[in-house]
Order: sequence, then C-alpha cells, then structure tokens
Amino acid sequence: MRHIVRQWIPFLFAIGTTLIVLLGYIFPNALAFNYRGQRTPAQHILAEWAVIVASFAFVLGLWNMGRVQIAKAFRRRRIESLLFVFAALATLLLWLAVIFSPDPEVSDLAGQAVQGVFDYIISPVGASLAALVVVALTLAAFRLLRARRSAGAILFMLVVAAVLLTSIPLAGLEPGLFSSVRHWIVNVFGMAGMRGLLLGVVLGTAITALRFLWPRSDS
Amino acid sequence: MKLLGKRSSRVKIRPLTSFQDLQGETGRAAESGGTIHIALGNGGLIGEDAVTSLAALEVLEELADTAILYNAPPIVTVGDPTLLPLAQDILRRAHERHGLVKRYNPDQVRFIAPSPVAYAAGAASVVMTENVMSNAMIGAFGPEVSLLVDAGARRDLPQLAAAASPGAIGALYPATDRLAVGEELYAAGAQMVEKRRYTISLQAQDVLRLILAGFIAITAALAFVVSLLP
Repeated sequence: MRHIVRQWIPFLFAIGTTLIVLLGYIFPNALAFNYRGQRTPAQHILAEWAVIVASFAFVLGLWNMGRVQIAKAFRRRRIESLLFVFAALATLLLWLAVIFSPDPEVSDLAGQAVQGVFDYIISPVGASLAALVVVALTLAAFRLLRARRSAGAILFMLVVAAVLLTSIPLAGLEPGLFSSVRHWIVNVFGMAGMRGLLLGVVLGTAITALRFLWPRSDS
Repeated sequence: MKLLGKRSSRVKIRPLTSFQDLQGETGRAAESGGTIHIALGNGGLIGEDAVTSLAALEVLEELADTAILYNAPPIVTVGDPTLLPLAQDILRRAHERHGLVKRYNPDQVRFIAPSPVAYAAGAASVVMTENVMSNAMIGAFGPEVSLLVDAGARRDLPQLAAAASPGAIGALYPATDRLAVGEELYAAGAQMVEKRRYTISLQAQDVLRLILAGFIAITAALAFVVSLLP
C-alpha cells in the first residue's frame, strides 16, 4: 500500500497531466489544450492548481525568510538582519493599513507609502545590483588572466575584447569593418556554439524529465 | 546491444571535475569546521527551468548523505519558493536515514529572494558572512551569478559550478575551471553515484545525440546539394 501511495499515485498523476498537455497540443480538442486558440476547461483547472501550489510555496518561502532573519537578528545580533526584520514589519503594517483601514484617507496614504517603497528604495537598489553585475564580470575577467593563462582563457578574453570594441560607435572609423567582425563572431561562431549547447541541454532535459517521471526503483 | 536493452559492460563516464570534487569539498569543509554552500539558482518547478532545478536537486540528494555523515549539513539557498520544500525534504530524509532526525534544522535551506539579481546578492551575503568553506553553484542561473562568484573569490573559496544557460556559463567561465556546461549538469547523478538508472539515461542521451547529429549533417548536405542544382 505504501509503495502504491508513494510511487504509483504520484507517477500516474504526473503522467496523466503530461499526456493531457502534450496530446492537447498535438491533437487539439475541446477537452484538452489549444482548442482553436482558446483556453479549455482542462487548461483552466491545471493552471489554477499550479497557481495554488505556487502561492502556498511563496507563503512558505516568506515564513522561512522571516525565521532565518529573526534567528540571525536576535541570536547572532546581525544588524542587517535586524534592519530586514524592521523593514518587513513596517511594510506589512502598511499593507494591512491599505487593506483593512476603515478610513479611506489613511488607506490612500498607506498605499502611497507602499508605492514609494517600491519606487524609491527597491527599484534603485535593484538597478544598483544590476550595475554591480558588470563590475563583478570585469573583476572576474581580471582574475581569469591572473589565475589561468591557458590558450582558452586568452582566446576568451580576446573574443570579449573584440566584441565589446566593435560594439562601440567610434567616431571617424569605418563602421562596416567593425560590424562585419562583430557579425562573424556573434552570429556565426557564437550562434553555432550556443545552438550546440542548447541541443545538448534539450536532450539532457528530455532524458532527465523521463527519469523523474518514472517510478524509482534504485538498483 | 544498448538498443536491444541488454545489459552491456560497465559504462565509462567521462570525469567531470565539478561533481567529482563536490564530495571531497564537503569533507574538507567539515575538517575545517565549516560547511559547504550550495546555490540552487532561481529556477523553480513551474517554468522552463524546472528540469534544470530538478537536476540540481539530484546533486543535493547525492551530497546530503555525505554531508550529514561528516556532521556538516550544507547551507542551501534557493531563489524560487517551489524549490524550498523539496530541498528541505531532501535534507530531512537524509537525516532520517542516518537516525539523526533531531539534528535536522530546516533553516539550513533558505529562500533568499524571487528576483534573480536579489537572489544572487543575498546568496553572496551568505557566502561572505556564514562559516562557508566551499561554494557550489548548481542550477538555473543568469549572468547575475557573477555576484555570487565574486563573493567566493574574495574569500578565496574553492568554487564549483554547473549551469545550462549561455549567460551563466559566460559569467562562470572566468571564475572557476571546475565548471560543468550545458548537458553535463544533467550527468551529475551518474558522476557522483553510478546508479544504473543514471548510466542508462546517459546512454540514451548519447544515442539520441548521434541520431540528431546525423540528421542535421544529412539535411545540411542535402540542402547544399540542392543549392548547387540549376
């Protein structure tokens, strides 16, 4: 019984859902997916279930985040965790004020404050982190030249330098030569390599998915 | 022989340094009194990165037993909440198998942030501030993984990575030479623990690859011949 509950029921559920989706794309019909470009009842039900699972997972994630940061704030006295806890509580209070406040003016003010948090704190911080990615990549390139002076590393740096330099509109220089060099590097060699990589990824994805769907019996 | 389903001789798997060193790094981290950080990326179970994330969870599953025997359970960071209960379940089951349920701490698995860049920054903070002796990045990442790699490099930590996305591979290549690229990520299970179901799936992958490469070559040759015709 345990074998059936733990292995066969999840397997049959996963296979059944997969077949509904896959066959609906190949043989469109009113029960499964893609019937005349419109959502079908099966698609609607499966999408709703997925949203419910994802929402519960998000709540679990927030709970986990809160637990970890509170433990770091009060047991290990980490200032950044303490700031996180206060910021989270403040944002939560603002959201509660937006939703439950009986006074519409208070609700509006709280809504503006929440919008302000996103517009003036979260968005600029996100943009700064994205800018830091460029700095981190540049530092990684310098470390590559220092730590690994192999043919592959030198070729990598030369290609990066060539693509970046040919992307800059340098005044007074012939643009045709630069654009053709960049075209060959990116659209011919780069695209060929990427297609080979993605073909391998597709094969690995298909085989791994089959391995997960099949009930396990390790031997 | 393989197509007929007959048991062939032992399959030889090309060594992948990313996964071969992972269990050794866990032991070294435990000897130093620290632990290993495993970043599973920001893919989840819903979306195009689902199978990549599942392959990363396979690596965690194979590593969990070793880590718990060394009494150095890894710190696992996830960027999608759907991976959180799975990763926690893997660690909990590993503790159960060794009769160490009381030592299981669900906070060893941490959901950092749903946004990719915020996840990379938060995971980098874990690497910088926790007692981490080794940094492993296995899963669905983008170029923002460079933030995480930079944090490990600043602490001179040994770093291993496995990624399938071209953007992440471009960011990881300068940072570590222990890098598994593309389909090598899906060979992790076969590399770390040579179970039959993994080696058979690798053989199936090889056969499919040969068929696909042959098909591409034949159609390219036919297209070339047709283009020459008047």
